[in-house]
Amino acid sequence: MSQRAAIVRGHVNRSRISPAAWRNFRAGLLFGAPAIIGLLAFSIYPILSSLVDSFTSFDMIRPAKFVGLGNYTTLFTQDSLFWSTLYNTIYYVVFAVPLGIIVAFLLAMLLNQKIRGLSIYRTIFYLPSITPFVASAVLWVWVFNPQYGLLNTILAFVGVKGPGWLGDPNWSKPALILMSIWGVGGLMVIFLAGLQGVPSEQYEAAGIDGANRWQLLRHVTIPFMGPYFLFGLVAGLIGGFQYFTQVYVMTQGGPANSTNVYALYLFQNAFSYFKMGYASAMAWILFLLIAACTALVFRSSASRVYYGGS
Amino acid sequence: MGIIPWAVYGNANSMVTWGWEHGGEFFDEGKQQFTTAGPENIAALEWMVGYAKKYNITTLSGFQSGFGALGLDGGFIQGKVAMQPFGPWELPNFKQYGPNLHYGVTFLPAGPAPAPPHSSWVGGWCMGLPTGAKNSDQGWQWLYWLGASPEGTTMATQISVAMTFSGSKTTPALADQRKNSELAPFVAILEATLHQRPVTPVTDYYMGALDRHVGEALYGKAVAKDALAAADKESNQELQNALSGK
Repeated sequence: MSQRAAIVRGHVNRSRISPAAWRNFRAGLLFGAPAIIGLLAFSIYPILSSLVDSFTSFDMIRPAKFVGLGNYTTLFTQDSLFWSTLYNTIYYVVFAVPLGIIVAFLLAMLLNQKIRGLSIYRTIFYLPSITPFVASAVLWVWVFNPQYGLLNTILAFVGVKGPGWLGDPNWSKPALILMSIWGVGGLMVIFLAGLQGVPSEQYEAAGIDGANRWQLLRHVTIPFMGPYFLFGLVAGLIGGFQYFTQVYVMTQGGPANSTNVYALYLFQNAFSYFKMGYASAMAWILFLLIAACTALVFRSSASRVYYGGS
Repeated sequence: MGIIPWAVYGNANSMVTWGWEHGGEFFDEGKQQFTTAGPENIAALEWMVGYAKKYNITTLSGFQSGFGALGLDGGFIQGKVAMQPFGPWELPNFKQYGPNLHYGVTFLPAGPAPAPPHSSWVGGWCMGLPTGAKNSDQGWQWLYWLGASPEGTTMATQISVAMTFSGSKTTPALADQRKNSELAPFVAILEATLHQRPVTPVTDYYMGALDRHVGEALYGKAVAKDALAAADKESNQELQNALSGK
């Protein structure tokens, strides 16, 4: 084993490496120290601390008391809001994530054509995804305004009376799902890169075999895009379960609790009611839920996603 | 529109406003329990729910969204809402955005007896000394100075847009406000204060629960009695946990 490999693998043995390599290792550690310390102080420590807090009644004012699994059992057995916010979150994820993938893919297909002004179109469709969440949310409050909003104005133009959107419990969740399309630009760019990576000879070979456009899409493009869809699904799941900012800005969980999502309820417990222990338990349940969903997606897709090559 | 009953600074504040106007109570100091689901409060919420049904709350929500960034103030200034429960902190908005607005200030109408004919409630900010705080004597002196002394209450009034602190009716600042034609009606209302929101370790939680359950009743997802009972049940459990140190 070379000295370098020994260091890289973490088996640092001063007797086996030269003084120069040891100095390099120390210098490397020193240069990496700000990032390492930052990671330890602002990521690892809070993560471990929240795990410990989840077994306590910590409220930021009084000393924390150990309550065992009390927070977890209360959440599962007594807290109806836990279940209703989880339902609202899953509702959002189930509809918004596939919709986002489909729209991003369709946009990427359109923007993969050889037409004039392509870069301008790409920029236009990508721009919304880099607009800050809060600014977008405030903008969409106006788009959804039942009286003067853009959406209902357009619907009225074609003779449809638009709903109350964010003010109607039956339409508030669909409104947020509709709004999620606004942010698909990032995924669209990734899909666009994926589309350009599909080997052209595959299209040519399929074309010679007589494949039409739909068959090319179904049997060439989509299989090659598998890893990209998988990425979109996993990233969408992780982001969707943590959905917060738009609801916090636009509805505060209303009307009639219809948009009260898990992360908002977690935030309220932590920073409105100061139930840090309880909120930490919620955070760990969310983490385990996301991890389980992600693992399920990876496991179920293992034999279906084609990574190219043999 | 005459008035939008649930638009008094959110569902929960609307509920306590109309509950007290109906003669209701929200907390039993002796038993240390929330008592929201009393008959007067149920009557108050049923009145709000009746209003929500009659005028369709979803339609009214759309109507409210047309008031603009000023919210209910916008509706009042534009003449879309005739009556609005509000405090003197809204006056700057009225002056800036509705300089020609003609309005009067008076007590809220009271519900049927035993509701008091004239009452009001105060809310806002509060300061406290946590158990075990260091230098608690000095802290208390400072709180007393700010909340009760002539100098402290005058300063508090000057730096805030609200009225002076409760329990300081003798403050010189209040006397000045009484001479001001715009603020004088508010002083009279302040002096008739009978209520404040329950002072408990879980009041924020209670107001959150009340907000949710009143919202569900207004949108027809729960009946008034059950909605208020649910807010009580959740909040009393929370209070019990807090008082027992869980």
